[in-house]
Amino acid sequence: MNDSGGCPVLGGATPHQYGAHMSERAPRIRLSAVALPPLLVVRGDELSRDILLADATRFHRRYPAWGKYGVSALAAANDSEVEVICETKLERFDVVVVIERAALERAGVEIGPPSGVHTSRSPTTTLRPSSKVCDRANIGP
Amino acid sequence: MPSAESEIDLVVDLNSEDESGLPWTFLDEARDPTLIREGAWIVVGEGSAWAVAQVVEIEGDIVRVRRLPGPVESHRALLKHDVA
Repeated sequence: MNDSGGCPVLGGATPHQYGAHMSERAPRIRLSAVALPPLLVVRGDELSRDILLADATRFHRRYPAWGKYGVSALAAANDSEVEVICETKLERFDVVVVIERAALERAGVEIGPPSGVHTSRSPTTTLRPSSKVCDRANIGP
Repeated sequence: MPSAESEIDLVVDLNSEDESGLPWTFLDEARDPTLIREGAWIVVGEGSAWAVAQVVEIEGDIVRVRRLPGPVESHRALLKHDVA
């Protein structure tokens, strides 16, 4: 697990100026400001270790330059936004898990790419376990 | 209802979305890679969540899909593995 690598910082550009190519090997960085820090994180399905590991490994493979593991989730500011997410993006899931951002951070899980920017369209975000968490879970190359 | 594992054509995390705004995965996550063509209607998903989706783009080994809302059964007619 390489937790020392960071995302390239694209100073001076705006999102529409930075035309990401599908074949790029690092996550695209959203440069627009994040309006409010999400208080809740929602992920569809039960937290199966096998599925989380498969998704995290897929993410690592997708973005090798980043050198990190991550799983996708959706950020919400409140219960109403959780409801909307459940009725739209996660409507195929019978079960979703809602976790307080603070609890994730206490557990050593970082939310979103470094510098608090997003790789994907809001509200989708990435949960990244710290290297300590990966070590404890025996995740990593 | 058939089990997800037996029916899923392409393993996709339906939580995921990349910079395109679409769920994505790798081509080698397909049960039968020959089914994965742009425009094809397939069943995607993982675990207990799966959906009918159209293959939007294949770029190298990365596949992006656009899923339809609702259960697989409601879109069964699309699943003849024909390209739209």
